Amino acid sequence: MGGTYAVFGGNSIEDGVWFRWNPEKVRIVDMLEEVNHWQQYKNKLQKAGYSPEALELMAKKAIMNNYDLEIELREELSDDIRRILAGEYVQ
Amino acid sequence: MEHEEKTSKLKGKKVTPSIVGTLDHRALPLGHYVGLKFKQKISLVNEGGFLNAAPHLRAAYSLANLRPATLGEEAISVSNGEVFVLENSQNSVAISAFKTITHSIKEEELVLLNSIWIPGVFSAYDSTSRGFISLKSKEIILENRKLDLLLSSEIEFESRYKFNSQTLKLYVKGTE
Repeated sequence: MGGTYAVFGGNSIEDGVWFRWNPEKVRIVDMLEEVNHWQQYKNKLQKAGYSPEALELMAKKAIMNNYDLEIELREELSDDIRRILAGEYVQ
Repeated sequence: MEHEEKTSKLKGKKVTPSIVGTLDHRALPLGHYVGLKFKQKISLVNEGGFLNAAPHLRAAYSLANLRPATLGEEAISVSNGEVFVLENSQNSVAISAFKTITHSIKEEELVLLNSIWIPGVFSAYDSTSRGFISLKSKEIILENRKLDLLLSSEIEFESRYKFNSQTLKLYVKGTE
């Protein structure tokens, strides 16, 4: 999987969703993000019209708001959020 | 395109979980595609989802416009890295090698860009073509074959997506 830590694919839970992850690379913070995305799938937010940017923002902010993260991880997520808002994270 | 080693079953149907880089994020139609190098046919069942890249590669991933894609069962036998076009595309696609390249990309950034196909627009004189460039293999893919003929002179390439807030611009030439 190279530089990919984890990836969800598929249209919806009704149509089927797949998940791949790199066990050598994926971190707890990455899994927390994927759990958030899974909840989004289950709650049908993709189908409800939420943009990919909105879904990424929700997942990353949820982690920052709910967990006592190390400063490096907090900075990493803050940078991701900056890139999402600048339109550079989700093409 | 890069795919899982084994197929998965989604609602009883075998599919190939994959990641694809696309020329245009607004236009990735579902349907049948054919490989440029090996002519194998695959089907795109759906695209989209969530992709979590290593932090240092996130800028390169967004430059390459990488996204999850669910491909048909047949895609499992396709070589990773193959490039596909729509089966009924009217474009005259060409793959060419270039010899020289001029750019102002920092060395540490080049390392990050080496593993991806960068989507963008090539231009020379009054001709333009969308396409990809691979800095590692020194190859370009042109949607408009006409531009291939101009590779003996310098062709400008401008990335379609941003890399660390910047648009990459570089120049390639087919002959020394």
